[in-house]
Amino acid sequence: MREPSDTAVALGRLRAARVLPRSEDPGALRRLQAAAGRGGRTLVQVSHQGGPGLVLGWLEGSEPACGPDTGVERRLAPPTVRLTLAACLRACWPDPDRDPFPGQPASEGQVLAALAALDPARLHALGDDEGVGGAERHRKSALRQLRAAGFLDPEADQIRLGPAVALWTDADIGVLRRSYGRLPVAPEPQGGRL
Amino acid sequence: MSQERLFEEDPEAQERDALMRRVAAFVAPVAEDAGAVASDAVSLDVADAIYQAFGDLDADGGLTRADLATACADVCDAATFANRFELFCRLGMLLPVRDKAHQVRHVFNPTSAAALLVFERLAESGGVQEIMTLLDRTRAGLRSGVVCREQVAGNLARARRAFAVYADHLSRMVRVCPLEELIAERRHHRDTEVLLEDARDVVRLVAERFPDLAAAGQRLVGEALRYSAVVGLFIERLLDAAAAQRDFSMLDEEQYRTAALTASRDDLAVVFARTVFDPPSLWIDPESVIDAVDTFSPRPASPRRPPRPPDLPPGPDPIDQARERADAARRRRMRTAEDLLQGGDEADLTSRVRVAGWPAAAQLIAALLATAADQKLPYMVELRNALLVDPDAPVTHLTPAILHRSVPDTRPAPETLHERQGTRDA
Repeated sequence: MREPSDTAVALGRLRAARVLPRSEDPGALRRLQAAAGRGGRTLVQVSHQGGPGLVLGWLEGSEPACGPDTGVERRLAPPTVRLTLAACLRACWPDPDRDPFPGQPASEGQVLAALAALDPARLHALGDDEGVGGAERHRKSALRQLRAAGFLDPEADQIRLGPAVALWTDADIGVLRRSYGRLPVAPEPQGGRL
Repeated sequence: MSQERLFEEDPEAQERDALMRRVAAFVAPVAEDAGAVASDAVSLDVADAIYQAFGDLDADGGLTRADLATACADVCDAATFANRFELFCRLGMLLPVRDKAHQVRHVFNPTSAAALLVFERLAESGGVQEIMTLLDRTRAGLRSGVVCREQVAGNLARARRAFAVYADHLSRMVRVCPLEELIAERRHHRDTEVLLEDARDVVRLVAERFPDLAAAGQRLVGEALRYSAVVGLFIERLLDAAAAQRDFSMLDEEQYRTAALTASRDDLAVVFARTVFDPPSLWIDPESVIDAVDTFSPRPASPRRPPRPPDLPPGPDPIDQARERADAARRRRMRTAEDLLQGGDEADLTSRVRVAGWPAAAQLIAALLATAADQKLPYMVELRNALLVDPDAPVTHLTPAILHRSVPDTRPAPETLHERQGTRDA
């Protein structure tokens, strides 16, 4: 069997790993970009492990449309996971006038506090109300899922937005900006006054 | 359609060409020259159409040339039919039956019918089926005890030679033939395992019945094994080519299904060992993030202006017209009341009502009650409790009624929409 070219292997590695350090060889990078383009993909630069990294995005109009007639189905994350991402976005994106990615690191406690401050009655509607311990277990599980899916940086000890967020378009970011004030945020600490 | 596809040969035509080559090889032992077999499969189609006509039409007593020409109309033109008809008659496929001096009917020669069935088997299984038939026949004869030693020895030798011929033929194909020919050949060699098992079964029976033929039987199994091994090589080359070209059509659907049901997980995983998969992912876009936030905290309702009233149609304002109608009615009621009072403050209406007749009496009372109910008019109607009955009068039952002039009601009347609008406009 014919061995695949280095470019094909690099493209396969990038697809399988989701994010990789950017090659320093301009020729290899050019060939990789061309190969990605032939498949309707494009290379998007992100920061990765303290240096430049690459992820695969879709060229405009190339992303497969999902729907019952298209043969493409997407598994929408459950509400708890999406709500957890909303809290992460709020914690890591302090200035809505700037792009959310890469944003700033936040502590896991900050995100969990933002979620814990939500109205328990409404959390019940989301199925996220298994007592204090159960709810926190759900939210930590949601953080793990977000890391595995690339919405959070899987390598970071703290909460950092991941490469999947870097692939959102300006229109996507606009949707978040319009509702920025409603993203869950940790309550300010109650300080005593002398 | 790509340019290469445009120049590809029709697969059906390729298959028919292959069949004609096989038929030529089939009749080669008795052919007089290389042109003994038609190169175009249309001859076979005409023969088949004629054969079907004899089977399907009411051919009792035979069919005429015209009947056959009609049956072949969809297969060939008249000239081709004439050509093939004459040939079929000369070679004895169609046998004449003369029942009238001027009309010749024909019947179909059963030997030619057998030949067509053989050609059909050649098309389907390339002749391998003949080995299976020979083995089946031998096995049935051994079990029933009707075959003699010489017949069994002859059948064993024929089956061995057939295996040898097929093994050599396939071996040559694996070495020199292009992939397209291998693909066309593959369906003729699907029953290898069954053939091998049949051969072993026959040899086992032969060893029991004619022990001295055991050696011939072993030679048969040896050739069958060689044939099986060559089929293995043949399949291996096909699979290599299929894997290299990622052509999943090389195997039948049933073969994939069998593999899915019976192969081990590791074997199945090999198929995708060089395939790149995206890591597992969740689908989250900003819209769905905001949807989740909405579920927790619904969007505040935005203040909405009431819808703008539609522009009034041209013409007089209907509200003004309604007000004018109401004013005119009030003036009419006031004039009626003043006529009855005749400048006084009180008037007994009983006799007026009595002489008014029916229904004018009821209309008068109704008008007076409406006048009394109008708060802007200074009138009141008093209805007494007495009941006056006069069977001969125009109104037989009558309650005495008195109209009073009253002090006008100075309370403000309920504000109408029109008046409110007018005030704001002012």
